Amino acid sequence: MTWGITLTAMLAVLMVILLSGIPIAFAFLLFNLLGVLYLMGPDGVSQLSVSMFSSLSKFVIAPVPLFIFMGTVMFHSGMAKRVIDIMDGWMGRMPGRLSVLTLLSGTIFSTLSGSTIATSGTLGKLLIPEMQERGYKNAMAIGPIMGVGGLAMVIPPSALAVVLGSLGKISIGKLLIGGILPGLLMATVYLTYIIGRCWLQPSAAPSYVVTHIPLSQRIIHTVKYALPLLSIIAAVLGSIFFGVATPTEAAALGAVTSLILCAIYGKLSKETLKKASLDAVEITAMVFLIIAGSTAFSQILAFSGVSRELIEVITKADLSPFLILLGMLLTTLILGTFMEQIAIMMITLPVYMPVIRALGFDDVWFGILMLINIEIALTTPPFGMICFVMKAVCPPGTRLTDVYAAAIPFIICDLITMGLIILFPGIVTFLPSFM
Amino acid sequence: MGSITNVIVAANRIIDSIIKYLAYLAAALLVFIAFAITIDVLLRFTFNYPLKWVFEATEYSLLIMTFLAATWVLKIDQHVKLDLVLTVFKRKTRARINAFTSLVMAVICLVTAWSSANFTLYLFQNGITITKYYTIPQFLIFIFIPLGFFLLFIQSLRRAYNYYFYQTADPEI
Repeated sequence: MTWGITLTAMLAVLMVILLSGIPIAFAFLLFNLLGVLYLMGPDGVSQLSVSMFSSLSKFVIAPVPLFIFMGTVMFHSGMAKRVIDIMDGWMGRMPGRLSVLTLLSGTIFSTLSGSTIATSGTLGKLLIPEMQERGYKNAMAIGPIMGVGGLAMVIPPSALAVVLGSLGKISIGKLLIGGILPGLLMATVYLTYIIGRCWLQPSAAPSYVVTHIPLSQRIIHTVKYALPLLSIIAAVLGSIFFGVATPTEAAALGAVTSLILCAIYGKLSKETLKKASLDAVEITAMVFLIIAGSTAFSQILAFSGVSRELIEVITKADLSPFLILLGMLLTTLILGTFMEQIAIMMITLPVYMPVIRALGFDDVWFGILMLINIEIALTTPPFGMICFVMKAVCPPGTRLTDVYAAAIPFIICDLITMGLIILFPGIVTFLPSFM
Repeated sequence: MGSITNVIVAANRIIDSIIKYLAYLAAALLVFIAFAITIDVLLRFTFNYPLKWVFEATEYSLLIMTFLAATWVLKIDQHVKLDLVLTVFKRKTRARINAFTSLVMAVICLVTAWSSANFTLYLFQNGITITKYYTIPQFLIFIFIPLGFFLLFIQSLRRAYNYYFYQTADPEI
C-alpha cells in the first residue's frame, strides 16, 4: 500500500499549497518543482520547462483563446447584449422572465470565461440587484446564476470543454458536439423548474409591466441582429460536426466572422478590438499558465508509480464498473468543495482517464459527466466555492443559508440531467457517432 | 535619498510599460493567429492551397502568448487563486500571508527562469532544431519561457512588497 501513502502525501502537500492562497498556476509549479526534486533530484528541474513547452505548444488547445476571443468580440461590441435584449422582447409576460433571461445571458456570457467562479461573481453583481428590485425571491435571483455555470460549461462553444478534452486526451470535436444534447436537456430541466415554480408561486418572481415592442420591429431586429450572430455559432459547430474544419479552425473562423459582423454593424473600433483581444489574452494566459504544469504533473504521478498501481488495484478489484464510476464522481464532488475547476481537472483526469478506458466506458460520455459533475461540486453546500462567491456579491443582509436554499433546486436539476445521461448514454454519444 | 527614490520610481514605470506592451503584443498575436488560420482554411477550400506554416506558427504562438501576458495578468491580480481559507484572517494578517506566498512565488519563478535559461543555452549551443513542416532552432521559441518567468519573478517581488506595505497586490488596481 506504499502507493496509497505516496498518493495521500502528494495530495496533502498540493492541498496545503493551494489553500495558502497562491495563484493556482504557481501552486502547481511549486508542487511540480518539489515532486521533481524529490523523485529525480536537481537534474530533473530543467525537465519542467521542457514539459511546459510540450503542454502549451499544442494545436488542439488553440480553440481556448479563439472561442474566448469570439466571445469577447461579441461582448465588447455590444452584439451579445443586443441579442439578449431581442430575446427579452420575445419573452413577453413569461413567468420568471428575468430568471430565464439570466440563463440565456449567462450562457452567452460564460463562453467568455475560462472560469465559472469568475463568471458567477460578475453575473451576480450585474443581475441580482435588478431582480431584487423587482421583488424576485433569492431562489429565483441567485439560483439561476449558480445554475448557469454548468450550462455554459456543457453547451458549445465552451472553452472549458476544450481544456477538459486536452487534459483528458479526449477528442475535442466530439466533446463539443457531444455537449449539444446534454446542454439542451439541462436547459430544459432548468426552464421547467423556473417557469413551473413561478407559476405555482407567483410571488417568487412577481410579474412587472413590460414595454411592448411591436411584432414587426421584433422580427426585423431578430433577422438583423440575432440571426447573424446565432448563425456564426451554428456555423462553428456545423463545420466541426461535418468534419469540414478542426475545432481550432472552426474557432478561428468564428472569431474572424464575429469581427467582420462587428464591422458591418459599425461597431468595430480600435478600442473594441483592443479590449476584446486583451480580455481574451488575459483569460487565456490565466488558464494556460495552469495547463503549463499539466504534463509535468501527470509525469510526476506516473513516475511515482501511483497512477499505474491505482489502475491495477481498481481494475483487479471485484467492483462493478458502475460503482467505480460513482466513486470517481463522488471524489470530484468532494474536491469541488474547495477547488477551482481547472485544478480539479488537472488532479483527477490523469488518474481517471486510464481507468475509464480500461473499464470500457465511452470517454466523451465521461467527459460530459465530468463537466456537469464539476459544476455541481462547485455549487454544493456547505463548502462549494460558488456559494461563497455568491454570498460575497449579494446585497448585504443575504445569508449563506439563503444562497444554499437557492442552489439546491438547481443542483437537483443537474443531478436529474446526470442521471438521465448515465441511464441513456445516447444523449451524449448520439451526435458524435455521426462524425 | 531623493535620487534613489527617483531611480526606483523610474524603474517601476519602465517595468510597468514593458509588462503592458508585452500583453499588447500577446493580444496582437492572438488576432494574427485568428486571421492566419481563417485565411489558411479559405485558401485550402477555394484554391486547394493551404498555408503550411500556419499550423506550427499557431502552436508556437500559444506558448509565446501565454508567457508574454502572464506577468501582466499577475500584475492585475487575475490569476485564479483559492483564498477561501485566507478570508478568516484579518486584512493585515491576510496581507502578510500574501506577501510571504508572493516571495515563495518569486523563488519558484527564479528557479524556473534559471533552469529554463540554462536549457535554452543548451539548445542554442547544440544547434537543436524542431522539425515539423519547417525546421527551426528550438531556442528561438523556448527563450520565451525563461523570459516570462524572469518577469514573473520581478512582479512577484513587487507583489510581495505591495502586500507588505500597501496590503494589496497592486496599489493601482
